[in-house]
Amino acid sequence: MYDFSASTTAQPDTLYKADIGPLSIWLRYTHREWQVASETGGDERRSRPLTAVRGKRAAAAREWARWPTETADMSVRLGPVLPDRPTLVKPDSSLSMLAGSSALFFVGVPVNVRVLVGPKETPLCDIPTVTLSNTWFGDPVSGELSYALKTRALRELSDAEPRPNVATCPLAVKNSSSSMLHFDRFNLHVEHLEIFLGQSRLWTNRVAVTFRGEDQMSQVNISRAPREIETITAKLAEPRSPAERSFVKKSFGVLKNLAGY
Amino acid sequence: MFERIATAIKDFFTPERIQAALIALVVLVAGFLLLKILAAFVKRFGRKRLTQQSSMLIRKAIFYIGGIIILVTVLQTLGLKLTALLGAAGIVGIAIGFASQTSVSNLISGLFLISEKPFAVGDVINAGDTTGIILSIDLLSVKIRTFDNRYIRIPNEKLLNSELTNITRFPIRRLDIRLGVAYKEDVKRVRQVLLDVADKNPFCLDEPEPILIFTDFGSSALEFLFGVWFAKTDYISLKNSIMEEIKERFDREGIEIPFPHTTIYSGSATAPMPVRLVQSKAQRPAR
Repeated sequence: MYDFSASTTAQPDTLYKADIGPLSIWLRYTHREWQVASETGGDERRSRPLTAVRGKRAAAAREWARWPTETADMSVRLGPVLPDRPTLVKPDSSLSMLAGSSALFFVGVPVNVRVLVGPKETPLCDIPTVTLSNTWFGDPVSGELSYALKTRALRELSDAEPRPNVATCPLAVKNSSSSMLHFDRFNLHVEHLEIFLGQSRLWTNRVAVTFRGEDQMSQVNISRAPREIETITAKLAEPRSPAERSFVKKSFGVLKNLAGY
Repeated sequence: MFERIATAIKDFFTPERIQAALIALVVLVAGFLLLKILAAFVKRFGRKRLTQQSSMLIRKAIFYIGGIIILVTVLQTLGLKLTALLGAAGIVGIAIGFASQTSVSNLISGLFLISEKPFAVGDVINAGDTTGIILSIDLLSVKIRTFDNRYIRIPNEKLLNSELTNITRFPIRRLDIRLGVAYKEDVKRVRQVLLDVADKNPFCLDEPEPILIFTDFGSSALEFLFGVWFAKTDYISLKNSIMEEIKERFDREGIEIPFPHTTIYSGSATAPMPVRLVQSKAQRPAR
């Protein structure tokens, strides 16, 4: 598992590289500026900390993002952060929940990596470890621009293999309405969640959603870290936009057929 | 004569009149300053609470109404009798009313447009041959900036009476691409390739899902309608990228996009065209 809490003191004009799942990040402090380059598409299981690399080939042909700054403190840390938009989750197969029933799902959310520099850990940039495709949750007149998760919401934690760049979100769904809930998609507002370090994987807050009927908004409760599932050793990231612990949202999508053209 | 003019001026500008004029000047300057401050306050206060359009309207209303109040106050301070002025204004108003029917119509149309809200400042609309971004919605006309940076003024009456398309009203749109492939192509493979192109394009939304409809057996090709959804801000990026990607992918997969053509058959697609040589009388050998 990648150690997101480890900080490195970069030497000037030295190239550093880290691998976090499919994402590779190159970083250096040179000519009084921080420079960062990245590439995705590598092995999803990679986990190599920020280490100095040699050779001009490693730096060549990279598209560098640059931040001019005068600094004596060249400490740098790579921290995890959840995506900046809601993510649309689908169960591994379409299912229906009876009235009064509840179920627990595990959703793997690919994290972004935030480059933090200096003593105050000033963020330079956020780099997605996986490029998520855009999708729309809602109807063509109103809704939310979200990311589409390629991974599915799983019923068993053992089916979700731990990955260094994936935070697992326990999603508890309860159908407290009097009708059947056809659960084929759910819009998870990850921008309100924190990231925790567990023993085997990254975790987010536990999210409990209560479905109260198609005509009503769902009740969403964000709990603290899921300590009942695994021992949590540290909190790694704050939410992008803190929300109230309990709020109502239209979270479930009812499958609609777009008629005609 | 100069003495008489000087005396007349001296008699006119009495201390009372000078005092009134100074007060009027102070009222004028202070009044307009106050209006500016009020308008700036509304702009700042309304940045998060009001739409751009509402903020603009409120600021204009403050200026017009405030300006009239200041003018009346200044005239009263100067000692002018307003009743006679209003009477004359009434007659002039009637005359102006007859002469400005179009302007009044535009004004009323503007009020209807404001209440109906078919568009807002910042929207992209298409009105007749004009496409552009709404800069302002005023009482007589709407101002538009076209994409090639021209400034167009459209009277409100024209907008109210004709069909208008608000391109950016809804958050997502669908790009419809009509294309044709050669009759020899496998329809299932074409479908698979197009959906894969949409899936890989970062500007295409996963949902709503792209649609692919086999629309017609055309005269030169099998015709399809391929519709992909996108966030309204991504129109140009999507249009440019997906057209290129479709062409590149079709070239790579060997899928032909035929140009319009006509094929002549003798009755069967596989049988060769029969040809019969005919000799002219001149060419026949003599017997």
